[in-house]
Amino acid sequence: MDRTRWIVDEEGLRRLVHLLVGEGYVVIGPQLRQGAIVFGPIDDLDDLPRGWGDVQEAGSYALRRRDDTAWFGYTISPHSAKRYLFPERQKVGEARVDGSHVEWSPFDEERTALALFGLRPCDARAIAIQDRIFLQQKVVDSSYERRRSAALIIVAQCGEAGNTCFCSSMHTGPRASDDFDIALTEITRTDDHFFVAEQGSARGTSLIEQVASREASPAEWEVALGCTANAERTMGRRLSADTVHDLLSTSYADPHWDDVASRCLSCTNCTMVCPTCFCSGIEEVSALQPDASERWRRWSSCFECEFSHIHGCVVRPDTRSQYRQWLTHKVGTWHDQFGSSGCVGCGRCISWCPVGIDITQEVRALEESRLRLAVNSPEVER
Amino acid sequence: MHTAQVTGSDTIRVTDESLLNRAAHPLLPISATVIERCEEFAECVTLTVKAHETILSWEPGQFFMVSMPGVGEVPLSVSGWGPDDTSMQFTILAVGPVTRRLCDQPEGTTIGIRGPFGTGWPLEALSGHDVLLIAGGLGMAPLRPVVLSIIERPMSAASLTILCGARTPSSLLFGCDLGEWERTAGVSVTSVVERPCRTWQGRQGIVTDLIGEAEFSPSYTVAFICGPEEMMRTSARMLEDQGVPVDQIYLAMERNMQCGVGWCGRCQLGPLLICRDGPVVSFDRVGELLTIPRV
Repeated sequence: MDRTRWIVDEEGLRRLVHLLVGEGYVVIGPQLRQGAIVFGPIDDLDDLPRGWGDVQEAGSYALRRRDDTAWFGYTISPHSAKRYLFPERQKVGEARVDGSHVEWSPFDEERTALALFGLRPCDARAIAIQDRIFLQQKVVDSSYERRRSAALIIVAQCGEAGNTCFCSSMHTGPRASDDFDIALTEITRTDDHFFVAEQGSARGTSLIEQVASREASPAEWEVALGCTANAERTMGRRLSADTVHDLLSTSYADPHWDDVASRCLSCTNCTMVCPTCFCSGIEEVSALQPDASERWRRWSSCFECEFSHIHGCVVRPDTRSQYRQWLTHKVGTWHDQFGSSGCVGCGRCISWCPVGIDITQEVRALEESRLRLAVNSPEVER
Repeated sequence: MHTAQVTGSDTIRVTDESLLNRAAHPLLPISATVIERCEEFAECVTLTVKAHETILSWEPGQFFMVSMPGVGEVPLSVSGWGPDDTSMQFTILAVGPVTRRLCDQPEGTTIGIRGPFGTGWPLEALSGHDVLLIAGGLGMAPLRPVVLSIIERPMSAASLTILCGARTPSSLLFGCDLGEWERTAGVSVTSVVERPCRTWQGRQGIVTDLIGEAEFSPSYTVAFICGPEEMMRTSARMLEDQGVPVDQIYLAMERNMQCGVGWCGRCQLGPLLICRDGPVVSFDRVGELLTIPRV
């Protein structure tokens, strides 16, 4: 891949949005709505939350006014690309009953090409992680494949990390080096405001060439790298990603799970905001006519009470076993199942947990619990 | 006739048109007609079902997702072959709304099937070995195709022993088949029931009582176990204690299967996705997980 970098000014970025709309893309970008910076359809650069940022901590999210005019001045939205590539509800098909005969027919969803405008590097990596589930197993999800191959990914590289971010620990950011068509690093200076654009695909290259003003100089590229270095330095949290799989595979009986269970509400917020959580349920829904029914696939959560139900009993009936499943899967057994971590360090689960449960803190607590158990073990006492 | 090949990358590429359609919609059932309905005992029937389209051939131990439109879908292991390669048998116990309706379906009605999914019993591992099948409750259903396979190809195993248990004599699954296999095919069969009736001439107890007395050479034995999880775990431990290598003991695990293709995440058991890494799993992979409550 040709690694030329380009300078795109603010007018160039505005033209890029119009170009995408003109080419028939539905551009999904950040906007200020419902008291947060969320993602939704945009048709002009002015739809972006210019000059707005966010402050996040465990169990809290608040907007803040920046002292500059950054277009991508927020840290991370509660929304990720997940709801666009893997929608919350998907109709699978219909069954028509005619006497004793039944015929199933597939539902052909409307084909839309999406331009995901302003995804963070962690979210771009989350897409690659979900690709392993829906595209790289024995059976391919062709609806996901269609949405995915039509989607354009435009990353906004991070210049500041948030309090709840830990992408560095998970090796997913703050700079994306692949998983995108275009990546933009926003440079805001008192006298200047422009973007250093990187191309990640042929589609990305052809778009940049239409809106760039010139190639970036090596000095300008260094400035761009400096932005993400700043994000590294201001990273809010850490997680020991290299040892967590082995830790969790031997922590099933750890007493710390009781402590988390006393706080967790099993509300499923974490699984909804997580950009990689993929659990779903298949439902048969009777239509109003007696001779038809529909099959739907909807997001599900390992915290739902019937999630692990089998013939008359529920395997994980309590918050303790449910939280243990979620955390063990996210940073542990996901490796065994799909060859990577399931966590990208976006920190959403920390911010959006109503009681402020912090995944990085829970892992640390398990590490400390392990040390305490080792110190107190009979072998050591002997 | 279907043409499906597993490529080097282990992704199924299908070339038959109807299979291509199915491959594009793996969550959608294909129609299948109930061509025979046989009552095994109260609340338990075996349906022979013929698919309306070509399907991939299935292996003993695999399962299909079976649908009643408007009601729901359940995973069912295949319990036998039908008259041709688009038909199969399911042995169903009525325990919920879907299985209740399936058990009530008369011959000639249409249901839906998707599959086959999952791992099968490793029949290729049986050659030269003593085969021990341990079944509890409805466990004989996924094991029946194993017995039929071995009987059809006698050189595929050195010997075949079946230990099976049920609550009552009337709920002993495939009682007639068991008798016939013993009489005509040299299969050693021992059955046990928890609550015998007056005419029951066999043993009283649970199937794990039989393991200590069965005759087999531990290191040359391959065991397939199917039944309630507690029974499978206890049986496997007993076999391990008697010297059967843990990678020669196989269990048919079960979890909440919904998609069948590794997408919905509901059938997880620790690092395993039971629809993909099971249902047949060797004891060395699952033994420790079975000691963890609510995993």
